[in-house]
Amino acid sequence: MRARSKTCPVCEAGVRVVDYKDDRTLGRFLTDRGKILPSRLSGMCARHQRQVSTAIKRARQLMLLPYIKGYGQ
Amino acid sequence: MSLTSHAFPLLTSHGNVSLLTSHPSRYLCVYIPTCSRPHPAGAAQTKGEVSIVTRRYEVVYIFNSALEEPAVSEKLTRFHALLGPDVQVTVSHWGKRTLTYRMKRHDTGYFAVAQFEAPPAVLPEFERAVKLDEGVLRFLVVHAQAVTPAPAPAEPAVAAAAEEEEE
Repeated sequence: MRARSKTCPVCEAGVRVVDYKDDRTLGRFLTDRGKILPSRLSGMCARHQRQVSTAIKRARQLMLLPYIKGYGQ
Repeated sequence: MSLTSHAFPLLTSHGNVSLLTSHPSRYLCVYIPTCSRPHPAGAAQTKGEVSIVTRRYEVVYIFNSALEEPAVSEKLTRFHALLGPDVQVTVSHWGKRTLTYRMKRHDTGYFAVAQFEAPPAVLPEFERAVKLDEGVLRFLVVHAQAVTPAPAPAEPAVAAAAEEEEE
């Protein structure tokens, strides 16, 4: 059985600081209901998982990302 | 701003307080951080009257979408005047965007991002002024670790289309 190679997508992109205003990139790390993906699914390293989750929470406050996707529709 | 370049004689012992005889009749006691090692609490620099620490901040404002760009710019200049006379502010206007959820019956908001370097002491007064402004739906001040370019407004056409639907 071949081991699945899991590398951090943020490290691969060469991003140093995750931007909380970039809602399109952050949207990749949400489930279809708007929850933050766990690192076991997102494949992110611990540092970037932390940065991305903080960034998603800021983006939610700024109404750039939803708290719950599809709520009230 | 350094007092060490001062023409007056400087009597510095081991401590941080030195005695300046600026006038023959008067003694001045000035706090001068002589030690290059940072204070454990990080307070040595901020307490000193000689050096003023500034931090890089980023503010995202979400204004009521009924406001147009001139009105928003006028408000922004009023807010940023509170930061001090020599603070350089870079403002980028994203324009109107649809909000991902309704907030106080608003579906769209006018987004603006400002970056500046200011001493932390001026922020409470600034934040209070922004909070009291009725045109601001929401705002967020963060300590910017690095200079991040503001992304171009995503889907401005969507916001415009939503506006037309409302009318």
